[in-house]
Amino acid sequence: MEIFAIIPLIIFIAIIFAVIVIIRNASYKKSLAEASFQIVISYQDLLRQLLLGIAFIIGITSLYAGFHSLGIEIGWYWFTTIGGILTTYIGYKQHSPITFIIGLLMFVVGISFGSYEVASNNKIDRGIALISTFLIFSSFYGLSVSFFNNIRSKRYYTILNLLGILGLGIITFFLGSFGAREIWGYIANSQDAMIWSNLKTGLILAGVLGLFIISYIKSIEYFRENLYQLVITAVGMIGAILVLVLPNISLLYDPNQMYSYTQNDWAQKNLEIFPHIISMNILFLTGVLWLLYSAYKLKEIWRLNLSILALFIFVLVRYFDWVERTELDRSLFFLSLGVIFLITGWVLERVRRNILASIDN
Amino acid sequence: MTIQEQVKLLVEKNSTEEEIYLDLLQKGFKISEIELALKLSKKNKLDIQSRGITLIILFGSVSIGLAALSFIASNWNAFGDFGKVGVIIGGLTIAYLGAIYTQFIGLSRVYNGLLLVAQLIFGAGVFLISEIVSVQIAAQISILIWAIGVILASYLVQSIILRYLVLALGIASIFGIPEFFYTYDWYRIDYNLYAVLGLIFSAEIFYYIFSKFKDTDYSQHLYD
Repeated sequence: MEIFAIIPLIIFIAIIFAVIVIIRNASYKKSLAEASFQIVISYQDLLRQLLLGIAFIIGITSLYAGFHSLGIEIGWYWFTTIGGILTTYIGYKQHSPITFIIGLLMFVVGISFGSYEVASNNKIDRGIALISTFLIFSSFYGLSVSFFNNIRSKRYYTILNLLGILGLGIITFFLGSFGAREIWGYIANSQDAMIWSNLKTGLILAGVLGLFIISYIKSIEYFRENLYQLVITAVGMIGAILVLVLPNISLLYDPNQMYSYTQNDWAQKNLEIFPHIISMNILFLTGVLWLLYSAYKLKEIWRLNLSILALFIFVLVRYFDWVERTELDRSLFFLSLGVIFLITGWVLERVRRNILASIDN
Repeated sequence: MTIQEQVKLLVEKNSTEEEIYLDLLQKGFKISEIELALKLSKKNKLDIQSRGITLIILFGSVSIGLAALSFIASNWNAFGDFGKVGVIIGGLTIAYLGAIYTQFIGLSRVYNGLLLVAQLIFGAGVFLISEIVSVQIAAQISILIWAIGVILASYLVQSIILRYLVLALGIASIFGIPEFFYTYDWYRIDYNLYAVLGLIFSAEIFYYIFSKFKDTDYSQHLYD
């Protein structure tokens, strides 16, 4: 099976899972105390929050169209980014978590696609888009814990935390698959010299870095109590960024050293990209283990469910990924798949039960 | 056992509200939680029949809307220009008169259905009239005009169904944004139109939200 067909499926499953978890927790079936997301809204309120988000998106788009029809050319991503911040703030002030989420997503789209477009237009390393997206999702995580101790803001803690974890997880997972080797090809062999001299891109990166640092400074009180979280997050982030930046380090010293691979060089290219793919998988698994541990430490069931689901998807997809590259007999393939599933299920069930028991205690 | 299940059990045992409160308070639940669970247990008693009738009527109105659309689309050339406008205005008038009549005799579900038909005919009218005057405008702009009309209608008449139609149109116009900006060239008249209509649309929604939803009861939400 082609890996490209699986990746959208995973993202689709992850989104469905997130929606189901939110709906399950938001519905009235549980008591308010039991709803771990603390999002309890009526249908009319849901409608209000969605409409508020839609009004912001259309309003900001019309501003962009207006500026362009007046002949003032400003990149669309500036509108989306600033509009996203505004929407998030209003969502928070108007007690509208859904509007809050819409604003955050606008912000992510603005920064990620914006930095990609700026990089493409200026013929510079497009890996910058990935770095900035990484930093933003991590900032969400950092910001979330500043809401942790305030019971009235706990829903925003959960939203930011979940978005941060999902974003980081999906990017790492995607970059760790063989299907992403073309993206690695872009990152590892950028057509032009390094970015840092370019003011526009530098500004974007500086802005995102600023947000990243502020988000963690703001949460310093929390991290002082939970030092393990800060250490693991920092190591993970630095590792991820190094993996993204390292391929370009040689270009820093010698900008003229450019690669231009032809079709025949694929084997060489795969060989160069392989370490990046391996390191991304290690990063992903470390992240999942950390999520399991934090589920136990923070006593939050949704972290447990999410990490089990991530492990399950990881085993399934990597298995297909591997089989695609080996000529395994079909019956042997299904037999081994069945055994892997049974063992994985058995292990996961045991782990889950143990952790649930220790959470209850 | 969740509070919801406990309330359900107590209601089945024919306990009075006071007994339910007393029982659950002793088990450590908060008053607001018990209140919510009780409210929901009553809500579940809504008979399935009324929901069925609502669904049938909604299905009927959507069918009529689609029938009107396909009839107009297939016989469009048979009407003159005035005939075309006449058909749309006639359809709208009949739907609104029907809605007024059903509200008068107290059939709220049919009233909602007819209002929905009126909005669907209005939407068809927006698309078809642009064909009469031979103006080539993007579908996204037609949807914006339609949505502006529906918000206005839902502001003037009391109908929850129109709020959901506004939501659907809003989502449709958001999904249309990438295509609109990638497909259409700069400096076309569409950009001016989009800017003006988009601003009207969002201003309308803001006004609508802050006037119509201001009575939302936040007290049931512990975390607001």
